[in-house]
Amino acid sequence: MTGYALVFSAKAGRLPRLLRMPTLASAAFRYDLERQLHDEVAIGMSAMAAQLDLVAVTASDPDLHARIGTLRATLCRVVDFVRDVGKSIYPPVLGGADFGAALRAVADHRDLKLQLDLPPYELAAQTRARVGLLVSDHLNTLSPGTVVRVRVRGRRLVRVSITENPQCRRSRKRWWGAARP
Amino acid sequence: MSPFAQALVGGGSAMKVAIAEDGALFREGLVLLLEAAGHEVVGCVGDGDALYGIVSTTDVDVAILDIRMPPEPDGGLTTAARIRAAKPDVGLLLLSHYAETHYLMKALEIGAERIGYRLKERVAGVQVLADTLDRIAAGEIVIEPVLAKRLVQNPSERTDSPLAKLTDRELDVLRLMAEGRSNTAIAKELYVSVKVVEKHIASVFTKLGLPNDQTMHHRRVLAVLTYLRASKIDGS
Repeated sequence: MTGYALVFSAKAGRLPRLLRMPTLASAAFRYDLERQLHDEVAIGMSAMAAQLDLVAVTASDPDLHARIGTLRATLCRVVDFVRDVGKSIYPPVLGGADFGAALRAVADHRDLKLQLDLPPYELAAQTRARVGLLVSDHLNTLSPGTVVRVRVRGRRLVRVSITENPQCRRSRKRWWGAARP
Repeated sequence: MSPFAQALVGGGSAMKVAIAEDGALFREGLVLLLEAAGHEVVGCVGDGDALYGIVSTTDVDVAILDIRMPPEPDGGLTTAARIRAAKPDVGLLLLSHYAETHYLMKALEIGAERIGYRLKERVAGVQVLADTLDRIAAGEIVIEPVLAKRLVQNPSERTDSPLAKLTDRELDVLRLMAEGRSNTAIAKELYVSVKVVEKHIASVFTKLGLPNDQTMHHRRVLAVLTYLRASKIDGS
């Protein structure tokens, strides 16, 4: 089943445009892709960092020791990069049960000021994943420091409203989404 | 024991460590690092339930757990909570590929002492791993410095935040507390005396409205938690 999102931009004065809500298949694909990055690439490189350190502690040559240190630092930077890519593909906390925590984690990394207004009941796991990806994809496009309000309502038909800079009328933007679980 | 291991263990004592990590390659690396640091690996498994079995039946000083492992999705956190409930004296080191505030909060909810949360690639070194385990065994909370710094570098700009009442120096002290530093280490970092640090900490406790009936150690944790909750993210 497909989902959609309408985008309103009061500042630009445009008509609403459609955003595509990730399908179930696309959400599952992104989840698997992030898991592969985590389980195969990042963990493999962390294992290499451990092995390099073991070589370094037994190396008596200071030059070799320094070169291994440089290599380990490079490896850590690559892991940082892989981590950022993985988080963009599928926020790791979204895989758990706490939907709000997942969105807060995305906002935390993007340095956004997030105001969440979530329903008092739990969304179904598949809906949570799709809505979570829709919102997190949008949060990833915002500039650091942006104040953003996310409101989620509905059970069978989930409505998502994202408002940027809610205190500032001129720069207000509303994003609407709906996903039928 | 290698001379390097002897030098490391000279600073602390050899510990009995159990590991649960579902990545075989990294698990093997951890075993080699721990052995190089002079510690004894009493169990090495790929899931939380198996680790709980080991800790229940074997004498373990510190358990090292991957956060994202079976039972899914966050088996490390659930297993750590089970171990802490059954064996409160066992130190817990939670490892992850991600530095997330959410995981940190969950870890601190599990325990206010003898617990750590670190990134895998950062802790994958003999010296760093040995130091982390020593601090956990000594009762400290060890937080990944990258996470602690990120959390405290941009304090809340909200005027209603409890942190708005703190001075820059008190925020510095709180940041270092969030990194799990002792008063002595904070004093060394800020080039002040331990007494001055204690004065700043007392002021932080007062300004954050932390209850007086808590022990000093719990008030430290509460101060860090207050910071985390009052950081730049809002919502429920």
